[in-house]
Amino acid sequence: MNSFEKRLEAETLAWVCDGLITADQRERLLARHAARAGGVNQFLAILAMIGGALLVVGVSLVIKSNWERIGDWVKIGGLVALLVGAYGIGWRLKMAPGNFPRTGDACFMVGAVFFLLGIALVSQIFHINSRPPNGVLLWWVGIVALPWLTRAKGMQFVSAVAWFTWLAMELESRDSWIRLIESHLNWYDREFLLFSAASFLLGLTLFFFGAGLRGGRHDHFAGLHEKLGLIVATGGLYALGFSWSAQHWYYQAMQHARPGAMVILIAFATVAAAWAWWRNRAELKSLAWFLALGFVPILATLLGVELHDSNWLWGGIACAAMFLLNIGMIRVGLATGRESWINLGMAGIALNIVTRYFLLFGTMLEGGVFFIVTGLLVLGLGFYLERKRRKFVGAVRKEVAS
Amino acid sequence: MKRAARWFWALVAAQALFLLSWAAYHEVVRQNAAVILLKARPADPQDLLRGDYMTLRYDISDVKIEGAKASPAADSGVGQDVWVLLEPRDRYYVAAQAGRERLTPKPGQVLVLGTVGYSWGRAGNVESIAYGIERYFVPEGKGSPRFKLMEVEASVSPAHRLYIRRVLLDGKAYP
Repeated sequence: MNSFEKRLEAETLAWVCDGLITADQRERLLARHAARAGGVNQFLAILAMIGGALLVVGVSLVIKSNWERIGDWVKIGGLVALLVGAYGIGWRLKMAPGNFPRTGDACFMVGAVFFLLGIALVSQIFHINSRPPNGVLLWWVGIVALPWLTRAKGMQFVSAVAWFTWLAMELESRDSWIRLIESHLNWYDREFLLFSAASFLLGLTLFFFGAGLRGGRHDHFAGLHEKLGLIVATGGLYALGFSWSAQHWYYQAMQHARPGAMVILIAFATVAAAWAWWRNRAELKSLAWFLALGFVPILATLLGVELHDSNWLWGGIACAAMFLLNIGMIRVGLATGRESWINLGMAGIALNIVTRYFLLFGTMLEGGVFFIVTGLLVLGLGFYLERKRRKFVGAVRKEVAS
Repeated sequence: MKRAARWFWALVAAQALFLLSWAAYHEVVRQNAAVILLKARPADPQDLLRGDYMTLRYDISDVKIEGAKASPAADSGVGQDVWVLLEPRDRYYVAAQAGRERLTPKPGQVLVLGTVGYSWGRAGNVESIAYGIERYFVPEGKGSPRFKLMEVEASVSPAHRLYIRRVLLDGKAYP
C-alpha cells in the first residue's frame, strides 16, 4: 500500500486540477508531510519490529527454561524493572515529548498488566494464599489513578476491566459480604441468571459514569465507558434471554439474590445515574426509555419473582429488552454521530435474532431443511443489516463532513 | 503537566515499592520467624494465573471452636477470624484450643490466626479453618509427586499468620 505521503502527492495534484487548492498551497502541504527518501525508515521500522519480536521471544524462552534456577529476588527485581521501564517508555511516547501517543498508551497498558503480574509473582514465590478478589482489588487500586493523570484510554480500559472483574469475583465468592447467592449452587441451577442480571446493572453503572463524563474535563473517557457499559448491559440481557429456552428441558424454581448484594448493585447504578443526571441530563434522557424495559426481567430475576410454568416469560422480555436497547443505541448513534454505537447496535440485533432463531427452530425442523433455512436467513439478515449499517454510518459521515 | 508528572511518577514508585516491600516482608518472615512442623496431605489442581499448585490439608484444618453454635449450613460463618492455639505433640504441632476471641498461649504453644472456610458435612461445632497455607506453588508439570509422608514447615509471622516455608516429602524438600 502507498504511504500517506505518496497518496497525498497524488491526491493534491487532483485537487489543484479541480481548483480546490492552489499550486502554492499544494507545495506547502507536501512540504509539511515530506516523503521519506526511498522508504528507508519504513524498512528499518519493519526490521526493528521483527528484531524486537525475536528478541522478546528469545529472552522469554531463556527465562522459561531457566525459571527454576533464577533467584526469587532476580525475578521480582526484573519484573519491577520491566514495570518501571514500561511506564517510563510510555511517558516518553505519550506525554513528554509525546510523539507516539498510541504506542505510549500501549506501554501504559503493559505497565498496568505488569503490576498484576507482580502481585501474582510475589504471591506465588511466597505461597500466599489470600482471597483471589483481594488480589484483583489491589491491582485496581494500584492502577486506577494513572489513566486520569495521563489521559491514556488503553490503561483506563484495563482499569475498568479490573474493577468489573473484582466486583464479579466478589459477587461469586462464598466468603464475600456482597456475595450474590446465599448458598453454593451448581452451574446447572439458575445461578447464571442472577449473574446475568448483575452484569446488566454493572453495565449500566459503567454507561452512566461515562455519560456523566461527557462534555467535562475527562470527556475523552466518556465514549469508552459508555460503549463498555452498553456491551456489558447488552450481554446481561442476552444471557438472561437463555432462560426462555431452559424450560424445554426441566423446570427450576427462581432463586433470589442476597439483599446485601442487590442493594450494592442498585446503589452503584443509582449513584452513577445521579452523576449522569447532574452532569449530562440530555445524554441520560436520550437512552432512558430504551433501557427501561430491561429493568423488568432484571429485577424479576434478582428478586426471584416466581411465575411457575411461565418463568420463560422473563427470558422473552429480556430478548425484547435487548432488541429495544440496540434500537436505542442506533437511534442515539444516528442523532449524535457516533458510528460505534450504530455498529454495536446492529451487531446486537443480528446476534439476538440468530440466537433466538436457533433456540426456537433448532429442534423443530429436519436437519437438512434447518440448515438450508438457516443459511438463507443468515445470508439475508446479514445482507440487510449490513446495508442498513452502511446507510446509517454513511449518513453520520455525511453530516460530520457538512 | 509538571503536577501530573509528579503524581504519575509517585504512583509508579508506589507500585514498585509496594511490590518490593511486600516481598521483603515475606522474605523477613521466611528467614526469621518461628518455624513449626505440620502434617499435611495434598490434592492437585491448577491456578490459571499462577501456574501449578498443590492444595494442602492439615491435621489442624478441622478444629472444634469453643463457644460456637453448631450450624448445618455449609457456608455459615465463612470468612470469620478464628484464633487457634497450636502445641507440639510428637513431631508435629496440633490444635489445642480454638475460639472466636484471642487466646493466650502457654509456654510452648503458638497462637495463629485463621478464617472459617467452606465445608460440607459439618459435624457439631467442628469448623474447617483456612490458614493461608492451603496452596503450595510448584514448577509446571511437577504437581503429582510420589511419597509416603508429607510435612510442611510453616513460619509464624508477628501478626500470627502462617506462611509455607518448605514442603518436605519423605523428609526431603520439594521441589
